[in-house]
Amino acid sequence: MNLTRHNYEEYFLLYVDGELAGDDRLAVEAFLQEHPDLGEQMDDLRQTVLSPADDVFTIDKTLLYRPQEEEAGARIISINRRRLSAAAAAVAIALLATSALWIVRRQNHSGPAAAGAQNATAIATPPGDGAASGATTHHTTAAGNPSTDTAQAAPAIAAGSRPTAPTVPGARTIGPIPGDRTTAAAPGARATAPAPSNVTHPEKAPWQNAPHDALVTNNPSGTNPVPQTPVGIPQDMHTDGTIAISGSTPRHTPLAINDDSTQALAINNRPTVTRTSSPTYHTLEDGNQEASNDRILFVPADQVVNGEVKGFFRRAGRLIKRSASLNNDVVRPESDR
Amino acid sequence: MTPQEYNQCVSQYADNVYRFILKNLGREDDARDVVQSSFEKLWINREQVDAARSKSYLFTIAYHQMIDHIRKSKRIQLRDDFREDAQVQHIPANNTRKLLEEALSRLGETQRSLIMLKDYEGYSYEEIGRITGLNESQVKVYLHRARLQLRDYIVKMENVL
Repeated sequence: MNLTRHNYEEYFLLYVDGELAGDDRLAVEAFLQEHPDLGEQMDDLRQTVLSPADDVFTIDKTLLYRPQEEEAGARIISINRRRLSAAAAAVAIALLATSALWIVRRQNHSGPAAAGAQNATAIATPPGDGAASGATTHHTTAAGNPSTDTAQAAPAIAAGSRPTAPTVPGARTIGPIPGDRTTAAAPGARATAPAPSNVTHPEKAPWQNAPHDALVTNNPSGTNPVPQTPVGIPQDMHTDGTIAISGSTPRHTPLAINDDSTQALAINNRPTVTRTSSPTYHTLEDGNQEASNDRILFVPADQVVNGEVKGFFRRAGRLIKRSASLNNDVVRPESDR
Repeated sequence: MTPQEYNQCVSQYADNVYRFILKNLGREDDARDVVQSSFEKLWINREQVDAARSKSYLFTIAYHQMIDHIRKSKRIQLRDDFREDAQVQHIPANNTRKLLEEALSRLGETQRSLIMLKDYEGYSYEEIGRITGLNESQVKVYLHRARLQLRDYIVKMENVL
């Protein structure tokens, strides 16, 4: 550093600003001692230096402090792009996984549903479905005496009706009614001509007898050709005034009405009477109920899914039509012009 | 910078920044707004700010906020020269500090800021240049010129009195 009387001001300013290192600082101080007349210049420059201790201002810092627990929330606000993209990727992966699970689950549902439906038809069709038997039970409760057994109701029928000896063969024919509550027709016949052993024919398959069990064969003629043919309403109309409503399928005409003057009404469809056939009966009934439950469970589920899909497409179609109509409305005035 | 370090920064530097801004703007409410917005920016960007350099960062934000505020209020003075047209008040000779305040108020914003950053905060030319966006040579020139203007004013007033 070469201090002279021509360049001293710059070095004095640097000295006042504290920008000079140790040796340069000492050099300036030595120069001042050599030239005491320039000391006043240095003092004037020193007067321009602000003193921090003289100017103290305070601000309310409570407006500026941040609570420590704000850290987590603030980090969320200042999320950077990488984190944002990572979060988006995670959401996309989650969506893909969810959709894949949904597809797999739907496939799994559609398989068992079809199998269940097949089982339901296989089990329920031959002997008569469970819904019919349920209806039969209902009729029994409504028309007959719910507290009395069919065996008790049968004497009443016998009292008001003709001798029913011929019904026995009919009962025998019909007897093998297992697998359906329409076996109740048999108790009615048994009451008139007690032949409980004939109620069921175990050697016959249940679905072979199913068409017949719906019929009450209290035919005075004593013949029983009617049960052989499932469509026998006109012939059954000549029976002894007993109305039997069975739970078989409608084509088997579960209703047989006798035009007897006594108008004794009996709905013989109580399954509890034929306890002898209970093993086969219960097995098939359980099967029927399961089949009906399967239908209830699976078929509506498919319908619901199909309905949702159809509804989606229906809505989309409506929207497209609506937008098309709006476009046409916009275009029309121009074309009209 | 952690929230704890941010709060330490508030404790240590809030008053300094407030003084720097208040002595430039001259209005307390404006200075308070500028300081608040400066600390708000510091809080938002605290993850990118090193705690050791938080003071320089804070003064940098505050300086630019102040310049923006002055420009918005159309009170910016583009000239760097000393305002000679200001009315001279009779100030006692022994009150050099008041003379200096008067002289300081006649400086432009840039020169005043350079003087305050140097004297109050002790920043080097290089650091002042980083804060104000000037290079070191500019800082040195502006600062020396401002210092000489202050000296001339003080000496002149003392001689008048």
